Amino acid sequence: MTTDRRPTHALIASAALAPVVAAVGTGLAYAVRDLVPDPVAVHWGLHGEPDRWQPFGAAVVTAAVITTVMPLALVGLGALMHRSARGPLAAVAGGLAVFLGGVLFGGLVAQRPGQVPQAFPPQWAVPTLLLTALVAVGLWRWGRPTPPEVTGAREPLPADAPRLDVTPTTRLAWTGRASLRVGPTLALAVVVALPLVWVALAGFAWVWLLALALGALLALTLSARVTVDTSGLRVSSAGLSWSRVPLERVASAGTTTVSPLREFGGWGWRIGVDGRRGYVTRAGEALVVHRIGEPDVVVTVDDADEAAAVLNTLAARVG
Amino acid sequence: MLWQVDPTSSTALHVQVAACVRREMASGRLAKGDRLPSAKEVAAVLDVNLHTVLRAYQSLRDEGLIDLRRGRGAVVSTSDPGGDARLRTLVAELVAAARLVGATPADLTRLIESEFQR
Repeated sequence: MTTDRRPTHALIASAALAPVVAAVGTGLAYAVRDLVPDPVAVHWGLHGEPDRWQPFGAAVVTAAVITTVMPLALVGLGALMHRSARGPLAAVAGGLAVFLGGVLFGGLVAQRPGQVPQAFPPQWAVPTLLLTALVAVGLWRWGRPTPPEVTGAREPLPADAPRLDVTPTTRLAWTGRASLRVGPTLALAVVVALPLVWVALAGFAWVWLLALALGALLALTLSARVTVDTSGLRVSSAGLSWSRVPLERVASAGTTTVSPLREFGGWGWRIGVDGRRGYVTRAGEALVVHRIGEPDVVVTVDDADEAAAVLNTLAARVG
Repeated sequence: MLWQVDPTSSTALHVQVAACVRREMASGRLAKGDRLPSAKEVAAVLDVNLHTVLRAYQSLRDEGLIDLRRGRGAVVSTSDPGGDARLRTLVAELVAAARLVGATPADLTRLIESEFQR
């Protein structure tokens, strides 16, 4: 079995992208140097008026450094994590490079003497957002490793894997839910959203849209439906699948105890440092599915032992 | 929650689906206010007809175990399924098992009577 190098390649590409974006931005800035005021505005207040200026050269250097360093920090994190996490981190790092480049250099080169400088000039903001999404999705897709093919007879399930004692004709299924606790999540969301609301009140109407979109996203991903049936394990929120593990790819299922912060660095759909995928909503009991040739999938559900037994019984039937 | 039905059993499928819910209630895994998966979802995971599940949910409603509300789905309405529902679940399972081993109602009755006399 050869190792799929694409996640690593995607990460390397995103690492190369950051300095390229910074270099292009710098080149562009110097190309229009005569049109741009000196000093230039580099920081804007709440009401959209500039409140800090820098000499042209220093402003360009600052923009270039931020555009390079922040994505590279993410690439460094990706290099430390399990290789299957490299694709997603490449997407975030690459998207961030484009976003920072567009916003920082765009805000700089669009300034003209005698005009009020804008923090987010529309002619830059829209293409930047589009390109950010395009690059992120592209890198994510590129960095998605193809799971190894399952061929031939599968290994029998381990003898100690929990199973149900039912007749072979019995149809089995298991349904459950993994939900973040609503109270603390809402409190956190409000605290996080407060600055957004403040900025929105200051007159940036589009920030309302951003806040609403984030709120809707949170509401949708607050809880996931967990299903085990003849098509395997499925974890989904409002029709959006976080994870699907077909029975043929289930090596075995069991229970484990998870600590969200320590093992996954937070709550929700996560990638652990060791590459495990998890829909983690609380500490404690969780269903763990060992996949063939891929990292484990973890879901925090009650009665995880029962879910594991159903999954093992169904997987054993596929044989 | 665990769902299991055996299409080869002579117990009707909707009775078996309802028994799954009763079993969860009897074991305390389903409590008052808990929401059951939608009939559509249960029909999909068990690969049975939607009407089978709806019929099971309706019989549970008629027994006063769940509330069926448009838009909210099926919600457990009692914390204690009661001795009657509990016995019914056990008997349904007992009869299914008896059919599997080929025991007649008379055999079963005899066994139950002898258990009472112990």
